[in-house]
Amino acid sequence: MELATLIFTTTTFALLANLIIAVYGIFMDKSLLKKVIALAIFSDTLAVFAILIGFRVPQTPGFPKPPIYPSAPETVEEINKFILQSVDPVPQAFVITAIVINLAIFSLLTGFVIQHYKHFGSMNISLVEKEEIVDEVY
Amino acid sequence: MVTTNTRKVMLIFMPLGVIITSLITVVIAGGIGFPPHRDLRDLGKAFIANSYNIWNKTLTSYSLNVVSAIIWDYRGVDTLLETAVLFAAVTGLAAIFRNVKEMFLGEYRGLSTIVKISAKLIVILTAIASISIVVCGHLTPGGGFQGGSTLAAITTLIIVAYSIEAMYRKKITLGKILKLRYSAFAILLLVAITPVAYGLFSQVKTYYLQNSVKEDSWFSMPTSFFGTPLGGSIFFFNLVEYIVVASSIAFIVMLLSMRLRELGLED
Repeated sequence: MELATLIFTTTTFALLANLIIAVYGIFMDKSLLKKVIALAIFSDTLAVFAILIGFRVPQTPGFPKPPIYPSAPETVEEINKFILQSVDPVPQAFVITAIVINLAIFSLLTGFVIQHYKHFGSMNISLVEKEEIVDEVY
Repeated sequence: MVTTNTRKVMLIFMPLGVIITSLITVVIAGGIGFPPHRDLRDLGKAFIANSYNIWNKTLTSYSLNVVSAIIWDYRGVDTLLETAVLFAAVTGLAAIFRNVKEMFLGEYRGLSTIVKISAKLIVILTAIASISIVVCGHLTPGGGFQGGSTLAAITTLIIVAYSIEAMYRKKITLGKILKLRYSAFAILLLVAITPVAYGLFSQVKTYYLQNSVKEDSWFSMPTSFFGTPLGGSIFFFNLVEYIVVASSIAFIVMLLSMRLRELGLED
């Protein structure tokens, strides 16, 4: 079996396991802040997954190259040769968009968590279900 | 309580571990698995072929960094709206903590002298590195968002080494950072409508977010600077996005490192 296939498959399974652990954290953990951290792990795993999908084995000997020209191509042949070596740039562009949006979401979520802490004096999500505590606060 | 929790964790993680281990064993022993691609997808191939292609002047963007070309040229509207999402989220954060009180500028200590001096050195180095990441964002790995996050790391470093009062003594307040962010976002929109404005005044057909020459429009943003590829509008977008992202993250870091009393959360 090829080494590239082995590493690729193992990484895929590891990322899937990471996704399951993150989903477990999002649903089962009582602490709001830990839920946010689990969500961050979930989204970062998805980002690595997207990068993994963009990976390819180059058709010329050597390692795959990042989608950045080392210098301005002077002939059409240089461009055609680079297409045989470079990895897919589209997932990378998507991931940087996703990272910026994640940053926005997590900063807002952290603000909400701090507000929750102010109202209930605890990060515990199950306090929201108990009405009497809510009545005391308001 | 502890036992049920432990049992629950065991119930979930034991099968998961068994499944992963067996899958990996099967993959190694049986020689199956997902092989990585050998061919590039057509979309990615088209982007790489046209990113810096002086023989196809209507589709190229004169950017050596293909990812930057996709972000700011081929999918420019996407990235503009993504910046708008970040803008809206930070505005929402400012709305949640709208009761921020005046910072009490008492005595501030920070960490020891060794930490402070080395922090100064690192701040200068980080600032230079972030500028180089942004200015060469269309030539080497980098771009506006990457450089902006690097610059925002300075805020964290100063707050840790010197305390947040030091920022306020240098007259760097939350309101000023917000104003900087608003004006940078306005400039970002201005760069986006520059081709349209040029077209209105000179009666040339131009498009929104246009970068290079199109089939029915000869308008083009500057493509080279003293022989160095400039990537047209990509360079300017990177510069402005740098300020937007750096001020946004600096705002988030400063707001979340304030004390509860100053945030207006404690009576």
